[in-house]
Amino acid sequence: MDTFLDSLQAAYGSLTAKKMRSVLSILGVVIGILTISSLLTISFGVRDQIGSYIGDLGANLLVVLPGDTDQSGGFASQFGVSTLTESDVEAIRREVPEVINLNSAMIISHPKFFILAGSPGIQATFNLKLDQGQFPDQNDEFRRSRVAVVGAKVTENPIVIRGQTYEVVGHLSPVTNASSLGGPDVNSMVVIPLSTGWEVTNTKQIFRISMQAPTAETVGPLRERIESTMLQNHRGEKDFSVLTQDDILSLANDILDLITAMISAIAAISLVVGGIGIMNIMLVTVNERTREIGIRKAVGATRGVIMLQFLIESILLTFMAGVVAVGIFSAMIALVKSHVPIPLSLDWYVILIALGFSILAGIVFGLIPAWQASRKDPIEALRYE
Amino acid sequence: MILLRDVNKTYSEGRVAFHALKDVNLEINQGEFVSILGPSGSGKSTLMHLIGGLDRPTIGTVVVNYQSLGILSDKQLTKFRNQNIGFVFQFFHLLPYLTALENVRLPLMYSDYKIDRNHHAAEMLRYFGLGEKLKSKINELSGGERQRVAIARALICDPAIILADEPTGNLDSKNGEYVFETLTTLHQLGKTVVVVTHDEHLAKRAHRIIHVKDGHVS
Repeated sequence: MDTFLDSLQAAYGSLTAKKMRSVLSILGVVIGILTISSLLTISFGVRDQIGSYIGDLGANLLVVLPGDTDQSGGFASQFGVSTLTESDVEAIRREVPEVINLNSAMIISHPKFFILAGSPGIQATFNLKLDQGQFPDQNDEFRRSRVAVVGAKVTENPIVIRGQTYEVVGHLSPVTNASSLGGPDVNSMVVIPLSTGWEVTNTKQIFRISMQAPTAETVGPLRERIESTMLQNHRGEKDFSVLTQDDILSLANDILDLITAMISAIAAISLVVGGIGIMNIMLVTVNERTREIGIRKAVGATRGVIMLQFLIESILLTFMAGVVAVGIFSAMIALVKSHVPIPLSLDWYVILIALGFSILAGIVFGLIPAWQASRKDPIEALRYE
Repeated sequence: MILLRDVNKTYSEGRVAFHALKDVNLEINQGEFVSILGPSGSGKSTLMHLIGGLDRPTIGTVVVNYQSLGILSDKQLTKFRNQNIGFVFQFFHLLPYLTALENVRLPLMYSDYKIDRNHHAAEMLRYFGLGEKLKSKINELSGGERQRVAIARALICDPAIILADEPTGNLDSKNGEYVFETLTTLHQLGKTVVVVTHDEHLAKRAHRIIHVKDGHVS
């Protein structure tokens, strides 16, 4: 313990003796740690947002999407002409009658609004709450009524979609944390009947079929039955996916993981560059303090003790870099959190990871200088001018 | 007891070999006060380094306190130095960013002594009249004070042997005299004292003079 404290004191003495050099040498590591912390926090923020959006969807949700997400085509297989049809909805209604709020939906492009054409029950899937009015019902669906329920940001009445006017029959409750990632902005949403959407677009596309299992325990078994019904309806060709909320979440997380891994690799490069700077400074320090190494060896310091001393010095440098980076990062979060749509917060595990990485960088990049210091011959070291 | 048998030390620099010590045979008894006298480059410092276990002979045997140094590993040799040898150097070799107390305490940090290190180091400095300078940095001390700190550091682990390499070389006559008197006192207290010097006047104050010239001992 005494040796450790002595090493810490020696390291502190050395670092404070050359303040400017110490500050400049940690800059690279500060930038590296700052990059890692920022990426982690943004990644966690996005994850939280997507998680909260998916969590906001109706309970025990089951969704059928076009394309097979398990195959190599993966996420990309969902783009293009949808493989879902009206007969799939009917087959599920017939073969799996236990499901509730069975509905299907399509999305219509519009320069201003997020238009969701959905059959009755769509409000349960998207957890949409009415402030006033009513959702289009089965009658509207049958008559292909030109009616719409609009989000809080939509003020027009009537509204015009592809040259046709729609009467606003309901207003959605305003949503404070309107989703900006991974989901539609409820406040600028326009909901119309599915049959109306088909007529307007002159297609019978279905982008998703949604339903709810009556209880959490039945989600798994019902999913299997829906899958087998769909497979039968598609003559054995699995060109669709049946997903639960967990699947949707894990799909989103898979994509995020990939992006995070790629950007982390870039962050790691900046940390390595910073670490090489630390190694360089430590090699200079070892050279400058050759006589000190000789003195310490003469009076009884073993190679291990000398190595420990310089390793502690290197760790202290990078740890300081970590602390500075966390400080700057906290200030950055406080400044920008109210201006970005992602929920950002300084989590203790991000701080721990940042400081952990800084210590790791100190060990990795301090090893060679510390080893060199420990190998110095005491006689030559004492003679060093 | 210090015993050197057929000791040779050769330094090689590229293809050039320099024979610092040639066939040295030497015996210094326990409690003796010995001067090693010789001109610069004669090999006297090399001799001291071999006795102190700071270096190893190219050929030959060095036995100190009944311990053959040749069979010790680097780690064991370091421990041996810590426990048995007290070094006093011409240029003091103190660490500038440490206080006088911390410099004296240094060998204790590497030893197995279970004592109050700060108290022991402070007592040692007080013995050398530096009680007021415990927390002074080395650059705040005079040359004489620095050498006293260096002697205190050499004695802190209570070694049996004191090896002093030109201990008065950087001091004025008054401080030089103080250092030599201190070494004499240590000898009287039972320590084996070996002083390396090129000053014949100082060397004569030891009980025996070992002459070193061109790597040979006489």
